Amino acid sequence: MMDEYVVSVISNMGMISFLALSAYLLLLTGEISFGQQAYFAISAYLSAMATAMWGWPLWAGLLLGAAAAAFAAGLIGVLTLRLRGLYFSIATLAFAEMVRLLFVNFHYQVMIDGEPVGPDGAEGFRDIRWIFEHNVSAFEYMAIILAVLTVVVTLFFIAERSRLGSIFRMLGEDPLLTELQGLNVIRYKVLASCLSGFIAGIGGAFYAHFATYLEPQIFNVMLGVHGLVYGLIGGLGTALGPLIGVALDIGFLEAVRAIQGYRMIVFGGLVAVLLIFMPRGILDEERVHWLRMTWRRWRNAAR
Amino acid sequence: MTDFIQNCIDGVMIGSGYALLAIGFTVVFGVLRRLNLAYGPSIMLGAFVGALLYIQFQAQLFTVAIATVIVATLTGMYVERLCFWAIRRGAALASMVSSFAIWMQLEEMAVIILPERTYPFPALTDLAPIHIGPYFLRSEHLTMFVVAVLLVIVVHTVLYRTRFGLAVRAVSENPDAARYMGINIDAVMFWAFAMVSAIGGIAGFLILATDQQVTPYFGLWATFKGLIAMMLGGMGSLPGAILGGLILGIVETQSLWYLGNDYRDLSAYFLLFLVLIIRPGGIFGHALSERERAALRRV
Amino acid sequence: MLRVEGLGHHFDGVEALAEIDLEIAEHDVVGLIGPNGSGKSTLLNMITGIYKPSAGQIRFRERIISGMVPHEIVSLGIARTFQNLRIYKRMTVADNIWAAQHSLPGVSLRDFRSGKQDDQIEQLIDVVGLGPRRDELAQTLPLADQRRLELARALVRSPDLLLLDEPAGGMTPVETQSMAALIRDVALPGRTCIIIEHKMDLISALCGRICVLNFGRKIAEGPPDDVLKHPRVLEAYLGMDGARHA
Repeated sequence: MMDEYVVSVISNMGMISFLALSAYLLLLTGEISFGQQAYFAISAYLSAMATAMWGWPLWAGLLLGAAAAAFAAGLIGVLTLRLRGLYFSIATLAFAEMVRLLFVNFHYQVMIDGEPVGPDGAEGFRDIRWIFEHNVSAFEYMAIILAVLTVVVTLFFIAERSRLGSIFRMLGEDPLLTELQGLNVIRYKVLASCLSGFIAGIGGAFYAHFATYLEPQIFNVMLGVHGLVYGLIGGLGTALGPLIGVALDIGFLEAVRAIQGYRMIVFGGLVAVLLIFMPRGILDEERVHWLRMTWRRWRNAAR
Repeated sequence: MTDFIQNCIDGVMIGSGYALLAIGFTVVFGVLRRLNLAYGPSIMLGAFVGALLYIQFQAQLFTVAIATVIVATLTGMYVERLCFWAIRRGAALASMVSSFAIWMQLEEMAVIILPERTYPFPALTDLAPIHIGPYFLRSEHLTMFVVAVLLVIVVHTVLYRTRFGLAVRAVSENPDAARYMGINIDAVMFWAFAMVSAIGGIAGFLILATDQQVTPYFGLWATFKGLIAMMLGGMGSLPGAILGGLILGIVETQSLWYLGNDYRDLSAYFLLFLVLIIRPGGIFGHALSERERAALRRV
Repeated sequence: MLRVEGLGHHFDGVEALAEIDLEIAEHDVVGLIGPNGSGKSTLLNMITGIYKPSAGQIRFRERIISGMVPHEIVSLGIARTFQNLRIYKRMTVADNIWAAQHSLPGVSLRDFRSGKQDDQIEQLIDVVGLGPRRDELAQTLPLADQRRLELARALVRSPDLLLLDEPAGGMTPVETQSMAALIRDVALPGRTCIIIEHKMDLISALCGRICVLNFGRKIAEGPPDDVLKHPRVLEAYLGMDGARHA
């Protein structure tokens, strides 16, 4: 069987991928969000409260958390409709920090078996033990995460070749033109926001039960920025882009023991250099298009 | 009432430090139309080197200051070359994300230089607080305020009375037109960046010498303060940066006093969020023009 | 079909348009000319709802549209192109055109592309001459082809009113002629059209009537031959002395 360390790394990659995909979705619609970690956090806390304090099953907690995250994201989407570019980005940053600071002040505990359980401000939220109490092994949990991730990525692929995905990309490239195509841009922007919140929420719920311990400090700007960067370097042409970014940082760089402790320096430098030559990532729209055409030509030639 | 005014005084003093940080962001935005997210960490790297000198070599206050400023400036130049000069035209997103990436780099570098959580930083002054009626002024605050005012005067003079400043303003207004006038845009951007990094170094030094300690969170903290102050006052506006810094300082001290430590930062972010939602141009900036509004409306 | 009544628009203190009256009947092809900055594009922007008038109103088929949101106005059967060319550069030609008809009722949220060819779209791609380039990214196309693509996108939804803003902008004389022919053969039949252009041969060839703007006001209107010799029009383009010597 796989050794524990590998299982843990892969699980990490899986959970962060949700965050990366959520930032990616907004990047497609032309918005740079520095605040996806807020939705990750909201879902993490809420799903953990559901399972650890109210005795809900994991899947129910996850849905609750993700739904709450989607709602929050939709709300922010509406509030920030007038904002473009950097103004939007800073607003999302401000919101995410507000959420984090609210959790620092959030105290809500219940007694279970004589012990207080629940979020305790900066002290954190311990004992989120659902997967241990239900005998889910680390390997099984990883498999669950990957399964759900596969579903989400598949949905992205389907959407990519459908009307919705095309509308999102149109929004990202030229919102005015899109409005003049007869499309209600507001509706799609808010929809994109909600979806991105939901996706981040799934990741957050998984994270809460994986780590069994939450504290507000985890959900800081750095987390959100990492999610954003993964999509941008992996490429904005396909949902695989953010996954590549995740794999590059957490997978590859983590594996290279020689740079242990210097990972951020290497990764940071790598990102900066990569962005000089590939400003829209490794698998950007042009490259994906080229790949698609090449595949088509190859397939036609084979006939 | 006394408390309120005392808080305002303290707020203005602290706010002067924020104003300097905001100037850094706003000038870069004015000239490059981009945000330099590695600004805070560049200053922090300078501060860490300064702290290292202080701890290892018992360096004097002035030496620490010089070291901080020089390292901050050099780091700023590194950031400019890598993230902004190398990534040209139209790839605004890439530049900003690149500066994020460098932020990550610099944070890690700082932690490698000084692995502990907190390091002492030399005190700015030993003088006792000054009393004016029922109010008192901490001497460090006053020093910081005075230096900040001097720096603002210097920046204003440079921008409005030198040829370099003229070039900076020309490039901010219209880079293409400036180029056709024979202005070397790359050089202007580079030196504007350097100037701004130096100011940041001074600001960082003042703030840290007032607190007498430096932590690895300083980079993030400085970035946030500078950003918030800039946005409050209006992106790209020099007076806005100053006003924004002072307002931020006052809001912080008041909420610290009346709401407690837990809500101090929260209030700052809340104010920022509110300003962005209601008046994105900033308190001091223009309410969006008709053209901008039309372009933004429903879109 | 389209009625503009006393339309005016203020822009940061500048009067971009003032007292504009214009009536366009079904199947009219009206040219809109005037020196740079005379307000031609602003007028189109106002018809499509990007700007709200500070005075007057616009009616489309007797219905007041001047307060409506762009995507609603466009759904009534109006389409436009842009002076500085707006297409989706990161999409292919075929995707660009396919994407233009997203808002039509009946095109559901889950319509797959998977090789399904929509005949009407394929025809349109061929008719504008972009057949061989249908799978290329729009950004790789030369300017003339990009303008054709933009025209095709405007036609996809079979608009009743077509607004063309410098459709031949940036084209060589040969390309301009080709574009004029394309507009005449494909865009105009059965449609009402307003064309902004600086190229007088294109305007004269296609338009039954020309309207001239200068400094935001209408200074002449009528058949091409009359308008192009009108003293005030010459004065606007050539200046007082130029008009005297023309």
